Amino acid sequence: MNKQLSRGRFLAASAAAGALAVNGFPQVMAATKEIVVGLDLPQSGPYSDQGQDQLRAYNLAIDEINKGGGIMGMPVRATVGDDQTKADVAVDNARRMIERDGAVMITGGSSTGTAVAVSGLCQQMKTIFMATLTHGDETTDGACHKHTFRRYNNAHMSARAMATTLTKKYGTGNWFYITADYTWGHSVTDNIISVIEPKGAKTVNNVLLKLGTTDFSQALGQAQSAKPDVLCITEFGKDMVNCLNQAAQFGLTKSTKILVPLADEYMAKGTGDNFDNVVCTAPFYYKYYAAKNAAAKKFVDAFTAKYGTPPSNGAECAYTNMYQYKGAVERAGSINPDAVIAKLEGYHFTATKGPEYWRDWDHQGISSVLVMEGVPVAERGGDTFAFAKVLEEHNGETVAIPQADSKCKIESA
Amino acid sequence: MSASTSALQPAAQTKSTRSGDLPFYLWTAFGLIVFPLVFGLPIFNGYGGLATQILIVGIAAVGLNVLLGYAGQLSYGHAAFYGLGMYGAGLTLLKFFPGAHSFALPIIVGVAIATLAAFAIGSLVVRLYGIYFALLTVAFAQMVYFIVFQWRDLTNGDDGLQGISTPSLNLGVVRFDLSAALPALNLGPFGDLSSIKEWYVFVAIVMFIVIAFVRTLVRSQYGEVLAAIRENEERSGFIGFDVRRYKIAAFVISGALCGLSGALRALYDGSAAIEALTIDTSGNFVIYTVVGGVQTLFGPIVGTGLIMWLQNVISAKTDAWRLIEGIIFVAVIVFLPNGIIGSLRKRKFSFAGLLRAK
Repeated sequence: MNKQLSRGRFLAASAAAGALAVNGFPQVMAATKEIVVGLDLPQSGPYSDQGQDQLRAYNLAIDEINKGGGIMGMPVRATVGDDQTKADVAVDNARRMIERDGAVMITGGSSTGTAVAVSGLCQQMKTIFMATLTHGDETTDGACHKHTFRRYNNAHMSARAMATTLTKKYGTGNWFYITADYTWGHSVTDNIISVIEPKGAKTVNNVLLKLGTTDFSQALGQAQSAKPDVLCITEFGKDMVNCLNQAAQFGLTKSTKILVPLADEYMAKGTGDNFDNVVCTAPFYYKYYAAKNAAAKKFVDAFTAKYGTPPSNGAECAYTNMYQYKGAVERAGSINPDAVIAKLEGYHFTATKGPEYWRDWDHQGISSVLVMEGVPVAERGGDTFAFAKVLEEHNGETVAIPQADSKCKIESA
Repeated sequence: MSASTSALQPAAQTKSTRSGDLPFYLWTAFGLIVFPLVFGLPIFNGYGGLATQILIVGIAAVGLNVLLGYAGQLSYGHAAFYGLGMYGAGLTLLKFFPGAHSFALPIIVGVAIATLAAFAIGSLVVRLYGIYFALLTVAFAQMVYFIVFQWRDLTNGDDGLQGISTPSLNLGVVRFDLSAALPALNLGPFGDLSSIKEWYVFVAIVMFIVIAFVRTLVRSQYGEVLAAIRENEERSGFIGFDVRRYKIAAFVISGALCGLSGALRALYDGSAAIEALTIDTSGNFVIYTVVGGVQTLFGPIVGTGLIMWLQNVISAKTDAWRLIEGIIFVAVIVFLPNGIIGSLRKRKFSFAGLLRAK
């Protein structure tokens, strides 16, 4: 019994010591007021590459802002949470950031599933949410909220931007879809179908697979026996990498034209030569905009110098979101959410892309959409991220959902 | 049946006279009042919202403990009842009765759905023992998960439910908007009272009732029979108890409490996530209960608090929080096989024994 006692005491003591070591010394309130922003993004799970790259971009932006005197003289401090690409964890994180850390703005994320959930909480808690990598329409459509802003292109924009390429390159034969079974996947596939079916394309099958699927062989087996003209892979992150690489093992990359509606640098790197000749869309491509725009070059150079890799398109959105929030607070002269929202709505600016603006009635950022085509690794010039050539750049205005077709109604409070 | 009833009566009586009821309830109330304040101290780095979540999820752990601790049946499927309570409450406000601005209705519907499911599943699984019982609960929980996942029209599938607007709590004379903060009152090192929302007060009252209910339950004849079944199921059957019915009742009570927990969580978060129905959630409930201490009233709540605190607070500081969580779980199993509270209680008893021996 004595031995048991000492063990118990030992455990209690080590637990207490551990708690102290982890917590460090109790945080004393800083003398100068600071602005706390909550970075709610995946550091693990299928979309974690994108989340980690966003975190790099946020840290870069916050370092730059703090070196330049912060926001209205107040330093910016980040509080970070791993949302694991799960809606419930993302909501818990956001609540912790707002309630405990005093975050006045939540940003980040790699999934429309988490974005919509966090958006609901932020509306409830009257905190601004600058959604980052969320491409499903829902975020600024049916589930739009007063406190949520989304600059990233959405599925409606991507599908309209690709319309010409789809009919020209992919044609109107038999289409086979593999779709991530959550709001984003449904949104993208529905949008593509609504563009391509009126032109005469036929949908052979649409296989829905759970987010985080690693084995696509069953769906790909079906695709193989259906012998479609086009295989559309509406998957993202590591899921898309697994799906496309397995499709190559099935010989589908040779026999079928493959379309990946949304891709980024990490997905192209993970799929290598299998991404050759695949068409995708993206809101940003570092190589294209760095050659075109001085502000983009400055950002890409700073990011590459700091981290050794160029920024992915989600990282660019993260970086610009941080500066958009800074600008809006400075124009409003306050961190009061209503004042900041008023300064974002309808605001026109030029950041790393061309001219763009925040639409006031749904809080969608209207900026250009790139339609790109993958190139083989041998043609990437030693940079695995230099994965594509830009086919077209579309003005966001021409492809965005018009108000008459939108389900969005922003709350008055 | 009457013979066994009278045989059990004296045992129940001695137990209730051994420790008074009033001090127990006063200490419980005191603990629930002090918890969010102590929890907010800088060393814990907690916050009012997390204290509320811990109590809500703690109800599910207390519920699981009725089955695991008092009836001795290990279920790895209680996420099903938690999730059904959550979706039941959420869908009540979003789809079933979208016009009803009632606070009680979603909770009643959520608990009712969870209870019915617990009765249906419980009736089938109580025929089995040990590992087979546990495996069958997993199988049924996965069935519920896939039904909710696939029934996209109703449940939104993987996206879960969002925008559940919590109605105010109507008590006839007064209405409470539970998301309002308590009045501002500086409590020195404990921070300010206004950092705690009215939600906490409500959930603490519910938790108090749940504790009182479970305490009365395990001290009743019914609880004594459950203990007998746990210790020796075969013999309990030979004595004449209908073991199956007792086990089903324990299963239904624990399922209903998980449903209550899920329903409250849906109203508190304003959302319901499909992750609530996964096997991870079931496993979490077991870990909370085992770490805190099975067969103890407060063990499951302490276990829930410790693990949720680790997940929430430590995960923000280090990526290795899952490692820390794992080490604690292993340490508890090795050093404190009765859980944190169970081991504390044991130590107190052994001290008493030591004194008596001298």
